[in-house]
Amino acid sequence: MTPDNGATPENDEQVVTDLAAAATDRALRAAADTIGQMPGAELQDKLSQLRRTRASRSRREVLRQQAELDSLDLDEAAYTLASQAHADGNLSEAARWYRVAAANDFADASFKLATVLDALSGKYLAHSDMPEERGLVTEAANWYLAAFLVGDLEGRDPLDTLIARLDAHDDAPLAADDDGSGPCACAIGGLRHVADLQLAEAVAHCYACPSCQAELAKVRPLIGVLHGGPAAGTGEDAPSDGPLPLDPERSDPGPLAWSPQHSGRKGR
Amino acid sequence: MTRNQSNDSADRGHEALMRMAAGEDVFFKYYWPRLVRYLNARAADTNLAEDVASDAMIAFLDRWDYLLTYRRPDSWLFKVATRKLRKLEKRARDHCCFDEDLASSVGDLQAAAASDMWIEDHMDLVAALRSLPSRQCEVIGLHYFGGYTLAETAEILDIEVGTAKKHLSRGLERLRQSQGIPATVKASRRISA
Repeated sequence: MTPDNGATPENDEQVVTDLAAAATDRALRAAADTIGQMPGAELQDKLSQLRRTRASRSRREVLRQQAELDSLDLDEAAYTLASQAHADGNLSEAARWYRVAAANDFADASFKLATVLDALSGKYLAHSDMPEERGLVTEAANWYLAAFLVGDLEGRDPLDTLIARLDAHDDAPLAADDDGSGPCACAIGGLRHVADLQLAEAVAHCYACPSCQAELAKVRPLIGVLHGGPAAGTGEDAPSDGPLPLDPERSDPGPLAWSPQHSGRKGR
Repeated sequence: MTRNQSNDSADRGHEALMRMAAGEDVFFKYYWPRLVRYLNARAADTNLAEDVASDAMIAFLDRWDYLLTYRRPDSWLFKVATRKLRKLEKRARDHCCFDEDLASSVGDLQAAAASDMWIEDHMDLVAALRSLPSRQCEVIGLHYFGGYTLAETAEILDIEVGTAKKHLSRGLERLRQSQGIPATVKASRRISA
C-alpha cells in the first residue's frame, strides 16, 4: 500500500537520481562560471611568453608548425574520402582511408574502421577459410576496443561477437579432426595422412597447406611433452632438426593481448 | 539547429570577432583561461595540456588575418587544440610512454592546483572529468566550459549532433555516479564569498 505522501522505493530512487543530476549540473556550472578568471599578471606573463616564443622561431620551425597544422586537415580529408568509399560500398578503399584518420584518433574513424574491417572479414569468411580473415578480425577487434575506450560504447557488442567468432574459428579444425569425421581443407585428408608420405613430400605439403599447419601448431606442445621436454620448437630447447619450416604468423598468431578472457580461453 | 540557436551562435561568433578586432590582448585574455582549463580537464597531463594550448594559440596568432574572415574563429581554436591533443596522446599511447592511470593523474592535478586556483577549487570535478572516456569529456568540456551549444560542439569534434548528445548524457551520467562531485561545494562557497 502506498503511503499518503506518495513515497515509494521507485520515487526515492528518482529523488536521489534527480539530486545527483542537480549536484552535477551545479558543480559544472560553478566551474564554468569561474573558468575565465585568471590573475591579470599571470595572463600578461603568458601572453609575453607566447609572443617571445613566436618571434624567436626560425623559418624552418614556422614551416614545420604550418605542416603539422595542415596534417590535421589531412585527417579530415582522409575521413571524408573513407566515408564516400564506404557509402559506395568500396570497403577496401574505405578501410584504407579510415586507417589514416584513425591513426590520429580523428572523430569516430576508429569505430568506422572497425565496422569496415569487420564487414571485410565476413566477406573473406563467406568465401573460404583464409588467413586474411583472422588478421582482419584481430585488427577490427583492436579498433573496436580503441573506439570503446574513447567513449564509442557501440563497439562493445561487435567486439564480443568478433572474439566469439575468432574462438570458434580457432577451435573448428581440431574439433573436426578429433573424431575424424569432420570436413578438412587439406587435399590429402589432414596431418594423419601426411605421415604416409616421404619426408621431403611431407615437408613440402605442410609448407603449402594451411590446414596441416594449423593442426601441427596445435600438436606441437604435445610432441614436446611426449619427448619429455618443453614443447618442441617453442624455445631454445627446440631440437636441432626443429619443427617443419612454417610461417609462424600464419600457423600460430597466439592469443590476443587485449582480452584477458580470450587469453584465458586460449591458454593451451 | 533552431532559428534561436542559429542566432545565438551568430551572436557569439560576432562577439569573438569583436574581441579579435579589439586586439590580441583582449582575445587572449578571454580565451586563454578557457582553452587551457578545458584541456587540463581533458588531458591526463597538465604540461601536455599547456603545450597544446600554447601551440594552438600561436597557430591562431599566425593566422590572425585569415581567421578574421571566419564565422566562429573561437571554434577553430578549440578544434585545433582538441585535434592536436588527440594526435599527441595517440602517438604517446602507441609508443607506450603515456601515463593515464588514476594515480598519475591525481598527482599531476595536485601539482597543477598549486599554481592554478581554478583547478584547486574544482579538483574533484576535474579529476572526475579526466576519468571519463575522452569523447565524453570533450563534449562536456566544450559544452559547459567553452559555452558551445551541442550543435557547435558536434561541429568542433566533427561528429553528428546525435552522437554529441549521446556522449553528453553518458558523460553526465558517469559524473553523477562518481564520488568526486560533492567536494565542489567548497568552490561554490568561495564564489559566493
